[in-house]
Amino acid sequence: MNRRVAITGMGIVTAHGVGKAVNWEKTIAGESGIRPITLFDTAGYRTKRAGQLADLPAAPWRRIQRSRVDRASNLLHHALSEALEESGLSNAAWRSLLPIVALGTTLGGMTSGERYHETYVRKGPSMARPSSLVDHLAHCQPIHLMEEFSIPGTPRVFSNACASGANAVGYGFGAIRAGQADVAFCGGYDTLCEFVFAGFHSLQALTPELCRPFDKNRSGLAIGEGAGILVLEGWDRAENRGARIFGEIIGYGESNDAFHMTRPDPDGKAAALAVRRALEDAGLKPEAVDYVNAHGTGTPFNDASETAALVHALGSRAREVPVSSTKSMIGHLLGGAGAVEGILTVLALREKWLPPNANYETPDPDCGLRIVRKAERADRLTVALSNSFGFGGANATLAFQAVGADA
Amino acid sequence: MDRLAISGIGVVCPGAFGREAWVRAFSAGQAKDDVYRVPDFALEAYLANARSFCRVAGATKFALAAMALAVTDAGFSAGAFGGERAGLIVGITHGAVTYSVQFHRTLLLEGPLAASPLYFSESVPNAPAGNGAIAFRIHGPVHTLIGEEPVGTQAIDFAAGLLRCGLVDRCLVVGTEEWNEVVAHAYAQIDRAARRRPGSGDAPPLGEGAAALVLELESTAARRGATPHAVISGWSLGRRLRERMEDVTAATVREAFRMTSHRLAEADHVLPPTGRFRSAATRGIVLARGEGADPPNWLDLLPVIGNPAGAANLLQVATSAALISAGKVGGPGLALATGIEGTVSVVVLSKVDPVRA
Repeated sequence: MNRRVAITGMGIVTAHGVGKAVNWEKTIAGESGIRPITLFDTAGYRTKRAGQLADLPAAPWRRIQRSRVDRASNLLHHALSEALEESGLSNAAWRSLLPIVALGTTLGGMTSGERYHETYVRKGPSMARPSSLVDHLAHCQPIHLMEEFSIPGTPRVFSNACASGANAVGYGFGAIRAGQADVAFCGGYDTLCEFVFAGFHSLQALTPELCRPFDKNRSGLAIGEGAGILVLEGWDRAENRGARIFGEIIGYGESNDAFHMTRPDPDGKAAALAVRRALEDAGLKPEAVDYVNAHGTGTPFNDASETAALVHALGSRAREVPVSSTKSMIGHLLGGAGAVEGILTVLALREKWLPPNANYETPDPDCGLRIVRKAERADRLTVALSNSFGFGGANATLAFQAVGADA
Repeated sequence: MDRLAISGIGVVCPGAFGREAWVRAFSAGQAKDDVYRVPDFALEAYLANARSFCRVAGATKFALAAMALAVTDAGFSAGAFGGERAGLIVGITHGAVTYSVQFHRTLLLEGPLAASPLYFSESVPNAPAGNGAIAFRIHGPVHTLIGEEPVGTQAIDFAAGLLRCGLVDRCLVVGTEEWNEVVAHAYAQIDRAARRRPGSGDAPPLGEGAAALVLELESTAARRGATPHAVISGWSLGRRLRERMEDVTAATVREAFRMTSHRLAEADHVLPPTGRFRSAATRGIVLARGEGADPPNWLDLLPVIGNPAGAANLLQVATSAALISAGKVGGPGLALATGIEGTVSVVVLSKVDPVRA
């Protein structure tokens, strides 16, 4: 059984704010969410800015003790609440439906882990409070979320670095399509924390300037934070219950570079395999692709390698198809990237606007793609891809289609 | 439906390296002391290109050795296992935590410029999987799943999906974990707090190690002339929401057996959880089998290897499969895992049907 997969709810939290409306408005305006970091002291770092959500509102936890949850769970709570509300599904639905939860993250509740370990190191092991670990491990956030929203089952937590969110959405897509679940809540998340910031700083991957993916003068990435959740259902089921359908997932592909832990394979062939598999899965030819939301981190290595991958996978179409990286505005959300960028891609398909690749000024001959400099109206936008590549050679591509495209 | 064949087993644990050594060590019983640590070893003994991985964290090193043992045990050469039709699924709870701790400690005490990028890049949760893909040139799906002890069953479930939909022909399924003093301290604190509450008190000591399984569909293994050690005939995952842990366990056991052609009463051995809720889970087995049923053979890993968290479940599965393969038990057997957040999993292992093989 291969069912069509409808997206019936989406929730998003990024440096641009909480919710789709504000995120879409600021994205299309090309507004930057990269701002001075206030979550930790940046003295000693070359880079002082990131895609930090300035004022994260408190999430209204009812079953879980609010003081014990990590910032990551708060991000997720906001994203799931928005997605659930739009989907029209409620707790009562779980009694008759088979739901699954699949989330991607790199380090889960790392802020809690940092707090515990800092006390352990500075004041001694006995002073470290185990209560601060309640929401530390990466499987704890989805479990707490499922308890809060009374969702039964066992969550799947993918930790494939920056491809995690896309992998989780791909997993949910596969489960709905195969009829293994009635509804899937899938997505990804990560918070801004000093551990990760210092890690990318030590790798000299952070730019002290503007993040400008695919630009000749690009000098690195900006870290961000956020969460994205998609509600997936079988198309017929969604239609029958009168749900609002935002878009359709039509394909998913994945592969591994098997090359290096942190560097992408410069020839891009393995990443191209993920793109090709997504197209094959969707039954599409490269000519059908109208837009690519690129992984586009803004590092010299990634953007050149992704260009090579798109050229391998799309052939001559790669030089024509509009490409942009929204990381230029909200930063790299790591485990949240694939889901958040997937949602922005679905919004692009709905609104018929291409999001811009902010800060792009000087074309790079090694990245000869058709980069979207400013938001563009695109009335015929029907099919779009979203790429996510990560440490450990993880590659994932999701293919989306606008509602009504099959009519 | 085509069953999942375990055609290769790799074990790295405090008592032994390799399938046969592990069967001997497990049969010999409890560890000599209560420190459940894997002795230092040279990766070169297991992996031809080991020099490329000389700076990896403990969890990755254990995983690489276990993968190499499993691949060889399945009759593949290391160079021939990978490609686009091979997959790798790793299940962990903490992963390469010692490097994380080292990186963060340096950051706290000496500042960001002193923190080594190696300790960051090799501490990410998918470091064992990423390095495994490189070592065995696996270009197909490579995933790291994070969860409690039952995460091994999640990895099997995921691999089964890849094999059955035809995306891969062979899949390494790996659980790995390393001991760390900060983690051990945190669990000890949590256990001390838990003991104040009635009905709890299980405090398994943290262990370390890795298990790797080469999984194929039974028909695929037969086509290449391989004789699997055992088959995974059923599995199930559960989580306590409001119910009692023994009831969730019993329901999960019944669900796993529904996938098989066996009756629950036929189970001749059970590997009980190495994590929390051991006693509740044990009651769940009794509940599922029915009071008065013949007691199965309890094969407890805890006294031998402690609780290696995310590696525990696949070590259980590897143990049952290895014992079935060695003729020490008949099967079907149950590997039962539980986690502190109330997650449960059951894997049912059976003998290979000689006619099918």
